[in-house]
Amino acid sequence: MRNFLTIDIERCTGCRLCEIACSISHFKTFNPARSRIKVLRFHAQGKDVPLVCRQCGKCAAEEACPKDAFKADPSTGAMKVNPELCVGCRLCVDRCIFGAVFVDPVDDSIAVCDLCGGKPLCVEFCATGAIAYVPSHRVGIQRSLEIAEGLVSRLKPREYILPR
Amino acid sequence: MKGYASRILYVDLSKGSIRQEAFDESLARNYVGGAGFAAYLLYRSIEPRVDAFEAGNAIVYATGPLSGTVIPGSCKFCIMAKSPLSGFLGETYASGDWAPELKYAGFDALVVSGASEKPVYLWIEDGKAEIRDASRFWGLKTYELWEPLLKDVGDPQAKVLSIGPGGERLVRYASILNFKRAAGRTGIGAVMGSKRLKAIVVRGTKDVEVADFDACVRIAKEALRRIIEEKAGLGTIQHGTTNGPIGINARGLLGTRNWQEEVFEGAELISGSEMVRRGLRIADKACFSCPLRCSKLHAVRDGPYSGYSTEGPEYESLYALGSICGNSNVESLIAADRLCDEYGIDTISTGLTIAFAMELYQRGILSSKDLDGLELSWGNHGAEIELIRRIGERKGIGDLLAEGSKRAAEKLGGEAPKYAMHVKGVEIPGHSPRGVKTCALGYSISPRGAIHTDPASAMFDYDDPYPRDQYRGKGIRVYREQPGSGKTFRNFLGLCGNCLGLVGDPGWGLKAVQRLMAVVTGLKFSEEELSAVAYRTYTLMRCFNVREGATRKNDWLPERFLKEPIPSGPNKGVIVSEEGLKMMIDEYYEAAGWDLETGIPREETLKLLGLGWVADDLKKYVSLQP
Repeated sequence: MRNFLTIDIERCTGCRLCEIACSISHFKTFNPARSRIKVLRFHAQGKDVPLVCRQCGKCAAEEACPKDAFKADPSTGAMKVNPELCVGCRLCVDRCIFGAVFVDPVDDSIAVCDLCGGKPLCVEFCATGAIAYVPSHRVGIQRSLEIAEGLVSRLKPREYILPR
Repeated sequence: MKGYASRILYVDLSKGSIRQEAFDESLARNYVGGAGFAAYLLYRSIEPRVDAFEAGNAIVYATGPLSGTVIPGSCKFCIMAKSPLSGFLGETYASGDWAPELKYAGFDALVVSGASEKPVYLWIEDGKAEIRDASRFWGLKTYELWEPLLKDVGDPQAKVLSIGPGGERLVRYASILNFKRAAGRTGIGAVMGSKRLKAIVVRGTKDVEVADFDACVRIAKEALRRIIEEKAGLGTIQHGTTNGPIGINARGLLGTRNWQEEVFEGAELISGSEMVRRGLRIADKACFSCPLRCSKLHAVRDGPYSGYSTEGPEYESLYALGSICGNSNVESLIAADRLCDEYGIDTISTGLTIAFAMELYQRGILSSKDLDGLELSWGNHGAEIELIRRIGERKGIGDLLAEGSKRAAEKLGGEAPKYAMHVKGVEIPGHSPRGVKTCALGYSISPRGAIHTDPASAMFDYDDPYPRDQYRGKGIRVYREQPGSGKTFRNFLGLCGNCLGLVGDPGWGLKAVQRLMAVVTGLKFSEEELSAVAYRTYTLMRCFNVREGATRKNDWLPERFLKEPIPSGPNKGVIVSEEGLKMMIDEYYEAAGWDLETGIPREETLKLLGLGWVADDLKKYVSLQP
């Protein structure tokens, strides 16, 4: 059983504390441009969309890499790029189906979420719970709960249940 | 010196030239940042006594030392210029995401002088800046501008600060928007318009270094812990300031129908709770680095205002576009707020100027014939919406009202000036000077006119135990408490007022400022040094006005607050007494070392504050008392 980073777009307020947290965790600095999670704001629609590696079981970036520089960390499942093997072709950036592989603006290396080794700091900095890090059996449970609550509110009380 | 980028960008639009200057610790020690930097740079950058729309006017945009760090709410920035509304110092603030981006791009502040012949915008990216053609963006409303402008710079993550058609057409209370967050007051958007500067687009990828990294992270973590575990800031999280109309109306202090009254029968109807109840609230939005998400996104789905959505309206807009115009149709307020932002005009001054016209209509001074056929009765929201469009486009009667209530009243003449609710030309915000006597003082003496966030509008007497008719001692207290006030150093540090409680430990005050400056910049300040920064800046702002010709006579309230008692409600009969106001002003001047007769800071005061250079400059224009 693994833990997954989950994103609830509806809860994201666009404060980008997760981006700062990411730069804190990886570089001990404050610089959202170096973050491996990016919140894109859609002004017209009033939506904020955090993009981050979704830990796909079948990683398109990994498959695209001509040098096999991508390798999943066995303890977390997070993708790691081996800088010794990486030639900097950025095919991974092109191929990631969620646009969640980035190029670091300071050293031009490939930047992809490594789950902070199993304790993602962005989760700690998210005030609304839009980002969570949960075991697989809890993935999506918040959404399930909200949908169930909606159903509950529509159920009419019944006096008794007939025997079958 | 950490925290700062330690660079200021200077742009001369007349010459089309750009230069950068590094600054050293002395500027930081004397002025800290934000308001302090802006006041200092503006005083030295502007040509004295030019008209606000002349090329000799300058605009300063200043971030604070905290901008770009993880400190919650460190996204506020200050803009100063000579105001076209007051003719004196203009000063305005917004949060959003522009200030941190400017820091990441390597600048603490930006000074724009001169004027371009054709429309331009500034593109600032990682230490470089260029002036670009904006001809095809000229005329676009703010909401229409972002997408093509971001395409033009080729970076969807760049941050936009821009004016709308209101600023282009020199509406004297035009605002400046960082996307949907408005720096509204004192009309600096029109100064940008006069310089043909449509926007300043910024993108930065540099690190912000601080003195004590771990301590900064701890402050942020502690703020988050308090929000999540102790429910700190819950009211702000739930409603931002949108429930202001309810609380202030319950006190009988909600400005209504151009301040003829202070109880509004529709207060509940224009509150945040009501917007939620009606299903108008659709999301909570946050500025950069802020966990409080006080910006509430509202949208109208049916009725005549169907299709309008806006971040806001917040308290001041609910007051100015709502109760002050007698308008309790909250859907129309969502539309009005959106239109003000699209045109780039200040909601407060827009609302108060419309209310001024409504009162003239009520009194028969203006008829519908004078108002392009509009029946401007109280609460006629359709007419109000139409007027906002006309002001934004300077069309018909909107052309006169775009001048602001003071100038419009002077042009109309006769009785009209009695109903223009402004100080120094700047319209009255939503806190009652009759009920809250520190507001009476603050609106009067503030260098930028009637501003509720001025440190002199201290508001410690909003409620009991202060009787509504108490004046004695308040001027002195306001002066003494000014440096530690929540309204002072947030403007220097670049912090949003809503976050002060989260980052102050245990509360907000000079100790909190000392701590933040130490962990972010590494600069150690004594409380005396910080107080001196606060007084130095406030006095320098006053000196700016003195050089422009201000005297004590400019520090006074509209007649209504001194002649007409509140007619009904819990504060029926409350008024500002002339002697009381004079006493508070005297006390403040005396404490501040300003001449009682003229309101001009005395030479000794200036020297004590390290403003000897200002004293020498002022002597060219006025005589100083020793």
